[in-house]
Amino acid sequence: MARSDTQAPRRPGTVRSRGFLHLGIRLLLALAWVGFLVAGTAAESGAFEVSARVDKTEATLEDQIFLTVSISGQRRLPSDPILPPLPDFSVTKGGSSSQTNIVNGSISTSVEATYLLTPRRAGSFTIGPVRIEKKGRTYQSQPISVKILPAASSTEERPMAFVTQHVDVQNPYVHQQIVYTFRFLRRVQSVEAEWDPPSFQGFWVEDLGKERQYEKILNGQRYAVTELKKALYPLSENSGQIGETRLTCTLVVQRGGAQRGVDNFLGGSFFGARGQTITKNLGAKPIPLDIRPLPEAGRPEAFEGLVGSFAVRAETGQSRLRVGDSTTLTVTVTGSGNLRDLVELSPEEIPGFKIYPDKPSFQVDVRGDRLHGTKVFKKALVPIEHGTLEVPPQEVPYFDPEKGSYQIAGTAPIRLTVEENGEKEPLHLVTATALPGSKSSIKILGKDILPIHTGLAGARRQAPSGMSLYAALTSLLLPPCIFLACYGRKRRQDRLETDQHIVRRKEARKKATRLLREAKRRIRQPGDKEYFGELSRGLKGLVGDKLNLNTLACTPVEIERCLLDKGMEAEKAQGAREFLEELEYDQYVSTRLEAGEREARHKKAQKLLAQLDKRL
Amino acid sequence: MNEPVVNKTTTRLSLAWALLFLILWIPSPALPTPTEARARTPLEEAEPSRGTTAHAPEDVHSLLFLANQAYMEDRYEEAAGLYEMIVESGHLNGHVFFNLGNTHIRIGELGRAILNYKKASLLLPRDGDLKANLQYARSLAKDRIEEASPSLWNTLAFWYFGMNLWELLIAFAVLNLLFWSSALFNLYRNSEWAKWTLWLSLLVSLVLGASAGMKARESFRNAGGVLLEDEAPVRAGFSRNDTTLFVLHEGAEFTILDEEQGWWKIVLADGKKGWVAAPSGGRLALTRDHPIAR
Repeated sequence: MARSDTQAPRRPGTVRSRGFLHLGIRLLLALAWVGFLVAGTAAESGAFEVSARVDKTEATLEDQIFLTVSISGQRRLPSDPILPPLPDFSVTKGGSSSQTNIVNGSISTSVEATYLLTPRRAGSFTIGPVRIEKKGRTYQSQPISVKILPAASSTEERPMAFVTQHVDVQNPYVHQQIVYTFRFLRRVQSVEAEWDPPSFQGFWVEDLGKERQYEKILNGQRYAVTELKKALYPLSENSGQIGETRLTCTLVVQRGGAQRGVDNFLGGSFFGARGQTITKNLGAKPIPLDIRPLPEAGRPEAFEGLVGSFAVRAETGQSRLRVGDSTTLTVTVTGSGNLRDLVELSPEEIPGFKIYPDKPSFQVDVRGDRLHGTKVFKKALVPIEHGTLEVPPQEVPYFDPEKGSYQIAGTAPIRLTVEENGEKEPLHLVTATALPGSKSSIKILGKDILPIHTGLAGARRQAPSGMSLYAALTSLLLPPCIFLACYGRKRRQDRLETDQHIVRRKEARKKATRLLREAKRRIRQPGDKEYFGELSRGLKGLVGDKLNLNTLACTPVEIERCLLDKGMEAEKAQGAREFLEELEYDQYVSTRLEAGEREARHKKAQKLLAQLDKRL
Repeated sequence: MNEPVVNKTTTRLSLAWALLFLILWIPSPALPTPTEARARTPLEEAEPSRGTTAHAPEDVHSLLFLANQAYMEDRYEEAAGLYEMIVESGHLNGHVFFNLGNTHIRIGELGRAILNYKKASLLLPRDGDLKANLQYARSLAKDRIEEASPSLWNTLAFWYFGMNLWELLIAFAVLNLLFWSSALFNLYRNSEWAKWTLWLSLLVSLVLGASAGMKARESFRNAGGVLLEDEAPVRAGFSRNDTTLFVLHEGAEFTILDEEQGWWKIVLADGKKGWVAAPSGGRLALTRDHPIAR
């Protein structure tokens, strides 16, 4: 029985009741949603309150503080919160979020904006009220007091992580290369780090390779080290100091106080670490520098500000050549220092030679912990006199900071044997400019307009007007007219080819007239009764051709009926019938008719023919 | 009975084709044949035709010859007068505008030079000399107005920017003729390639027809303008009492948006707008009543 109950078809009443249930649920949901919206609007228009809070009121210089500004009674920020001046903190704006709470039927909404505060110095500070403006009114939060302690790493013996910066020379000379080193050391895993480099104002800065990763033991503790190096060149003796540097990092600290082992910088597995992450803002103190000016004593005349240690090498492409030939003098200056500043080598002129200098090339590479440069000067030398000519020593004066004195790097003189040119050709020194790599862009000496056009083209009209416009219009309109004419003719031709009725109608009069003309030839033969037959066939044929009927075998009465059907007046139709009967009578019954009577029949037939042709 | 009808139709069709070819062969009366052009010697050109008015078309040759001669003998004022006489007679030719532009450059009238070069460019859109001279003239202008770079439209619609109105009209007429010829051919012969030709020629002739219409508007109702005076204040309204927004110098190019009581509402290529006194500038449109007649 139970099975039969379950398999029984549903009663209509059950279906209807479930339908009502579904409808009721939907209505309730809709009402709830509307109520939620109304309540939300009401809540938004309700109490408007601004509050501010921080995640911690006591922190070190290495910590960051989250400031949260909360506005209740709103689902979105009416305006951007106005923070008080915070000169002792670096402020980074975070995002904003809104939330709606329903507790015991009471709905409340709020929106929060977050800020990240990074302390710049230790001390006690008050974060003043945060203000919000809404519809011309200003709302503000309560002030918050926070206490910033010195960095933990400076007080701890074995800090979790810390950064250092130093230079290899504290009292460099102006333009002397000094090596700046920044290190980030940590004994826990770091998952994120962002370095804010110090201000290098007053220095020319070049990178010394990529960052290095290695490990180091400090106070019996293994630290992972990330090291960055830069080559600095003080631009003046007033360059001062290298500013403070900061690094913000996220460290993974194991729960229960025991720290996890050292992992690679940014290379560790965040999800593999069973610990919590903390964000640290680490800093290193500024480095004061005592930059010394270059001494005046012993400064060579040709000194161009090179500071470092350099060597010079010179060579020519060939030692024997003829007047007018060219050879390349290659002078290579290498060394560690501000070689980039070396612009030109002296002497710029060599007696007996015409010189065409090329653009010098400069390459930098890192050797050890220092930047090492190679600058190559190439000059095309063209001897303009024969004999033994000498390329004088190529000298580069520089200041050696190690020795504390000026030095001169130089080469030995190069002797070239120049023979007289046997061909006695005039010396075209200008051709030397075509040496490889010595091409120069064309110099524009002046600008002017191009000359007038003097050809006959100026006399030709280039815009349509008058007759030419009509000609253009005609050439545009004539083709479609021709086409339409041809199309009409083609259509007519097609109809003529396919519709016999049209052909018969078109040819009816002509055919009938021809028959009457043939009949006329028999008019003078009084016994020839076929004359009347011809007239009758002509008239009947006309009616048949016009009405597309075979009327030759029709009686005059039938012809009359056809004419009446075609809408001809009864009197005229009757006249036609009577004339046709008369012709049949003359043809088959009557005796000879005189020529005058036969003539009269012909005239009447012609008249009737014209009448029928016009009417049909 | 049908046979004679067909014979007659064939004769008429042949006649229609003959007429069509005749139309193709007839040259436009506006364009002199090369033989005619070559037949006129400079000496003939220099000698004005007797019994004709000064503006008669026959005089264009001699006026042009005299103007060119005056230019080459550094009599620029005289040359400018002769060139302008040719233009005022309704003879619109890019070479004449080009020469007039050159003459104004020599006289030192930069605005008029740019205006004439721009008019010439409507009729000689592919002329390299013209582009060079216009660029040179623009480089002499005091006002640096940032112009929009050529758009993709310039590349895609190359025929529009590379042909003048007359060339577009001729191309349109030829394509129009091709289309109707194809239609006529299709009427009597059923051919696949003729159908393709029909639709292709229809498409191209429609494009060329639309281009010719646009070019005619550009040539005769062009809203472009050039400042002819040394400098002119551009005001906020069409009155001398209105605030001066900025000052334009000779040769500055603009587009005329509106005209009111002898003032033009203009916009520069960089979007700046204002009102300038109409007599200060020249219109770019090719019209018989030359606005810059001296």
